[in-house]
Amino acid sequence: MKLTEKLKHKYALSDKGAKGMIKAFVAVTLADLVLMLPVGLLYMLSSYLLDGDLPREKFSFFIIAIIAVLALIALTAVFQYRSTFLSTYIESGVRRRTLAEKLRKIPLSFFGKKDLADLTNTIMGDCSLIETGSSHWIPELVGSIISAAIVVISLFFFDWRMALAAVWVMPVAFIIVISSRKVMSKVHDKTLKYRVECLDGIQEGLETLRDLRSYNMTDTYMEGLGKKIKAVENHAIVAEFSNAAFVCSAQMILKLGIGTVAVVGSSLLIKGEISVLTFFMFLLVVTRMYEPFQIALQNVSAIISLDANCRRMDEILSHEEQTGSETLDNKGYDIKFDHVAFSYKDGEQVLSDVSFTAKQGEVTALIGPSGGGKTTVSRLAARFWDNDKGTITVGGMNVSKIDPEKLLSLYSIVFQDVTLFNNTVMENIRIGKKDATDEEVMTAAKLAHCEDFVEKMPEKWNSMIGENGSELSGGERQRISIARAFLKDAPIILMDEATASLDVDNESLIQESISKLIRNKTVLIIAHRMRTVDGVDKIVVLKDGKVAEQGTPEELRKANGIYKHMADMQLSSDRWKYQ
Amino acid sequence: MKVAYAGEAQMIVDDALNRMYEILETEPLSESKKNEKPQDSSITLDNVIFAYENSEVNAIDGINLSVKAGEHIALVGPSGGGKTTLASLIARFWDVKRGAVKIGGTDVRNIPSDELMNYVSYVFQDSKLLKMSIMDNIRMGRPDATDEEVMQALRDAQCMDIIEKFPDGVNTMIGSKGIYVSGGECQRLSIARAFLKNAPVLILDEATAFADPDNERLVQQAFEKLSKDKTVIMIAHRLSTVTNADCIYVLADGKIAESGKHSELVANNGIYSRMWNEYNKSVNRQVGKAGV
Repeated sequence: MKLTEKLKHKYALSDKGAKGMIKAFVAVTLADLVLMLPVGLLYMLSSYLLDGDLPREKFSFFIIAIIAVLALIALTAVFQYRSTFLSTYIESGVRRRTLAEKLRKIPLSFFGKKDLADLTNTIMGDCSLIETGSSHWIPELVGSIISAAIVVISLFFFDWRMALAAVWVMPVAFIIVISSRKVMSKVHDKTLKYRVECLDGIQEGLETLRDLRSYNMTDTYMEGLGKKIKAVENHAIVAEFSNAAFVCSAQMILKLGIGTVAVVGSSLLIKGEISVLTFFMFLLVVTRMYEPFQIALQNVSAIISLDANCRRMDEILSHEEQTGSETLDNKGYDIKFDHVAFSYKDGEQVLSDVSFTAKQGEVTALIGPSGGGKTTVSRLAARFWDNDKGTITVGGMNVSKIDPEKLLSLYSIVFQDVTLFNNTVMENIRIGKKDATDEEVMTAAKLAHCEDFVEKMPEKWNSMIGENGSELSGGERQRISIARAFLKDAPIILMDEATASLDVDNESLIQESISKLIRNKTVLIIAHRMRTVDGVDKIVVLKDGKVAEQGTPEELRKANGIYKHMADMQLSSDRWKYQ
Repeated sequence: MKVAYAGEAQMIVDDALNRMYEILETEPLSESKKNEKPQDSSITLDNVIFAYENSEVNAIDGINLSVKAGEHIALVGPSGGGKTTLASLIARFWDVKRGAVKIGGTDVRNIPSDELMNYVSYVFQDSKLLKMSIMDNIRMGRPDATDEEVMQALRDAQCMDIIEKFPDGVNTMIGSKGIYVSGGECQRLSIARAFLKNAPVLILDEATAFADPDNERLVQQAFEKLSKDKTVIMIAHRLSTVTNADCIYVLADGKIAESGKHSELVANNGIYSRMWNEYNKSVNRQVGKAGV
């Protein structure tokens, strides 16, 4: 079973997929070999004809044999179709699901470091390329090599000199294509790079279209993008040409085999060393035996370029997962950070030494300048990322030892960047608790004051809200996010205070409902406006990845440090009037 | 079997073509041949009606207003009331369904789009930066600006602390590894763009939430400086910032519900005064156990 293991890794396959691929090899080999049967029949037939007479009784034999061969060809074609197409499409379904499943378990930091265009390309493009590769290219190549080898061996039984004349071109052609590997690999890497750049440019252009238009920059931008597209085009031509140079010369050399068989055959025939029949048969075989091989050679370069796609896929599939125990053994819901340090993969240190406790039943506010680590702390608390040093515990349970999904059942998260799905309002809120009844959803929505805008929508609760909630305003989106939290009603709440202060009209209503929401829970809030944190139980001031100050608002005011400065600063900006 | 393949390919191609035609058939905003120019920086809206595609409800439902050159007005109102939509119509991101938007007495549909964009600066609440150096990003405001002019714009927009944060300074590539610009910083950089462009009409979409108070103060100072001697339309999410505007328009359900100066509106006892009370209540609210 070593072969299956190897295939599994090389082409990002599942167990079943690797076995399916071997089956595909067998199918293609059989189909190729069966195609040689007519040659055998023709050989027998012509041997009779050359003797001058086809006996009556053999006539029916040939009829039956021809029908049998046709049936065999049909049968193997079906077998090949089944084992290549059907099994690989099942396999690609499996692969896409595995990929999705994997993406679900990878720490979120992975996505921050990835170019979105690159990732989209991997998921959409690479998947379908690998599909074609494993359904066509690879089985066809392997199958044609095996069947060619079998044919070649049997040719040697007839006449080794003729066989040699027919066969020598195959290894030569193959070597030419293989030796192009290095060159082609480089060319393909470049193609991929240009393509990603181009996709990136298109995506960026769409994202920033509004800004580009308002600065009359669309033409300039399109010019740059045009260059990128041109680069892809030019490079595609180069790639095609260099591919063609190798593949075509290899194919030409294959054709040379027919020539050498003719030359060697006729000279042997003249010397009387082979019969006309053998000569005739070799000529028949060589016209047939190169065909599958020729098609397969075309795809060798494609298979080589598949390597790059497979590598990218493998990078995702072999990425470290966040796993952990399924049992929650926390006692209470105090969140405790003990000398926590965290840095991104590229070495950028975000937190260097953070220690504090957010007690159950209390509101703990994180404040500090942007880039100070507030968001990072809140995300580490829910194990969106794993910390490098120190421990983070919830009720004494180390969060890094707990399965992320299980852990998240303890948290309600209300951040600024709420994600909405192109579904109804009802279903978008129900995400907070999958098995909630319609009544429960509506009650939560009422608490978050969603009712007033939902009632205005054409289909009320069943209105579709567009892709990522495009039909909704910023304030409405936030209220849906708060409704989800109400529905979930988890013992720990992570919240961005800005969320609560979006909508002038409803601000105090929402604040009122949030006060209800957070009662008796562990609340960790990222705060921006100092006056809102005046009443919290504890403030943690984060600056440059460290806890700069912590204590009750009163203590910090007396300490006359960063908190005091920020509060004073805000007072002046609140009094600021637009002149 | 080949026929089956070809059939499948045909279907895929058809589908792709249909999607492409859908984009190609979308009518671009008509480009006028009239080539008119605005006379000054005043803005007039003449019974403007606008509805988003596939929507039966008018997002803007018959709005009349006029802003004199150099006046500062504010648009306030509940979210979804039409503030951003109205401002977008002035910059002609979309065309009105009925009525007319005029800048300096000229219908925006008769002004060539690049001319119009020279006349209007729009500071979005979520402006985006392109993947190029900070210098080039700002230079979008005026492509022929010198390096010194770009630096001046950065100073005017209070961006120097952002520049100093990065080792490469103004040559830092946005979007490259480890380069992070927060929402507030991004908005300040886009204000620098607007400084460089120096268009006579300014539309400001105030960000709804600021990352931190230091940033907020800087953005406000930059706004203030930028607004001098310009016709300004401010989309305000916080009432405290608009009390000095020449005129405040309260938009609700696509209509102007109330308009007037702050003091008039407060006295009026309508939507605005209710919002003002709400606002003052919320200002004094604190997050905490006691809550209410």
